[in-house]
Amino acid sequence: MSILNLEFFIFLTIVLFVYYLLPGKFQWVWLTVSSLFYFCYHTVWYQLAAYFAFLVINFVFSLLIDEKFKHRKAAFAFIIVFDILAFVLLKYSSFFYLYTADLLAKFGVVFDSASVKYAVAFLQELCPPHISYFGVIIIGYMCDVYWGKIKVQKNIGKYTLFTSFFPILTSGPIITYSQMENEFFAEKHRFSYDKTVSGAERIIWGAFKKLVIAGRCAVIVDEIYGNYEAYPGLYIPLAAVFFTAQLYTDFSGLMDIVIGTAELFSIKLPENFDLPFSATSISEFWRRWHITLGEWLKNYVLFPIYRSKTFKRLNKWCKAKWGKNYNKKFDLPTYLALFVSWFIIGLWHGGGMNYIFGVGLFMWAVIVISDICKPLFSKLTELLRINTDCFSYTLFKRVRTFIIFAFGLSFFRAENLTEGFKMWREMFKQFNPWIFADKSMYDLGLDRLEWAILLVSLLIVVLVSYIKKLGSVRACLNRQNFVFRLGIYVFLFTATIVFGYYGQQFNAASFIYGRF
Amino acid sequence: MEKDDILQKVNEIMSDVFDDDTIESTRETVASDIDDWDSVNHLQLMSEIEDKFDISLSMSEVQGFSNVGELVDTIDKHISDENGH
Repeated sequence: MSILNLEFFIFLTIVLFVYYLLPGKFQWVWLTVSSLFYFCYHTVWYQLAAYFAFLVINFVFSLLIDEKFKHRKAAFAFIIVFDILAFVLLKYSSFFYLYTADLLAKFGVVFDSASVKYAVAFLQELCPPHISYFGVIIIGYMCDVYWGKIKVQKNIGKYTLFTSFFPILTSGPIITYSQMENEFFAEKHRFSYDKTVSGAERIIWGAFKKLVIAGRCAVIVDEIYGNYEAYPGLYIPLAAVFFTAQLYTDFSGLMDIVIGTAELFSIKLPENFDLPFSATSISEFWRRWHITLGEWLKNYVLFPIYRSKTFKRLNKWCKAKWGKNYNKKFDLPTYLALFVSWFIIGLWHGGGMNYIFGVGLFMWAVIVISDICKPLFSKLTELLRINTDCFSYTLFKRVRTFIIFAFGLSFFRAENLTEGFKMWREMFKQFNPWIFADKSMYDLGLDRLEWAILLVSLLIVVLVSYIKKLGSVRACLNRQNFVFRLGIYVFLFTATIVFGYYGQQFNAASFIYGRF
Repeated sequence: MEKDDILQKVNEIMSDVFDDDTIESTRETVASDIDDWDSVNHLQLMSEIEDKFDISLSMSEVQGFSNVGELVDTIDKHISDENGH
């Protein structure tokens, strides 16, 4: 069930109505039942069986690793290996099989086993939906219990709600137990007019971004990506820019809908975006874009790797070889730990080298190169007497960050890595700045009115981001008179209904981040 | 070692890790107050603190403290434990 259709709206209304009628101690029970219903809806029985097996096995082990169980360390090691194996086998076996077969073929070895193919197809079919979200939430939870950061949840119903709260299943945010314990279980959630209005506000804003903007960007992007040889020169960076706009409005729009939906239940979810395009470096960008995934990787991948015995030994070895301040010049252990983290970020986005490169290793390379070249850049700006403490320099850094991000992201949209590079090669075949002045833009699937709607809507997003940069959009809205606020809601709602892009291929269910 | 001495030593380590001699953190200082305090520098800071104070921090301690004051308290607790207090 998508979260942007009538079916979901009816489901949500019923769940909300019953939720506020129930006494506090039954509210979480109702949410658990509703979340399980949501999960079971349209999910085939064997995928459900895999989901429940994953859930229950982890629950049992969470009890073992928390208690003063003699072998808790071994139990923790086992469950983490089990989870990673289950995750990789169910979600990525096809990618690894095809990639290995391809690689072996280059060395003249034919790897074409019918039984392996059958096993891969079986695992792919067995993979429960939403595993990229509930799977990583559970792995994080197991680590937190083992490290003693939280007390284990001994009630399997509450544990199920935390791992599978229905609004977060399709697209996150990736929550942690310490963030959510009070939100879910602390007290009775009473119906609040303010929270309901705030939640509805976020939902309308998210739907506006998704339907009015992302839908239109997709038309341009699909047209150029689908036939890039016919669109050489500046069409290629244009597609990259509009794909970045599409992904941002699609994913942040979806997050607004999810966070708004949770707010209707008086539950506060963590934010996943914090003005990413205001970032002045790629590392800062990723602290502002898909924040909860970044936090998850930091806490459960980067930190454990860097603090492992192997890395501590490597650190000592580097100090002995290059001196105690070696990390100021070439921080090998950090670069290696970051490599693993970025590889996982890429892989998490999809089983394909285009994902691993575009939103993984390319970003890693940029971060490492900027770290190594930092002293050189400082000397250069000093030598050229560039004022680094002014708006124009900050703007330059923001534009530079945007270009780097959009370049990496363009591979995310490409069919595969080779197609991604081939597409960029087309850029150098022609220099055609006139396409922005003649009527070429109208050949990309949007007419004059559609372009006007898209650009005005993008301007509204920029304006709202600017207000957010200055303070809080909600506080700004609340300061206004009721009639003005109502006018904004009516405008957004009407614009979404009237200008929402519902082309022939339109499917409101198909959020880009909803498929992970 | 008193907590003030620990804070002073933490400040010296911070100046070294963040490459900034002007850093003077207080117990209330949080990561967002210092420009370069990102996750990578945080890991290096923890590693240097473990080396300089000759202690071993747990994962929940590395990820757990919310300001420099809590970090100082954690270091103090480790030093006291190792001295058998």
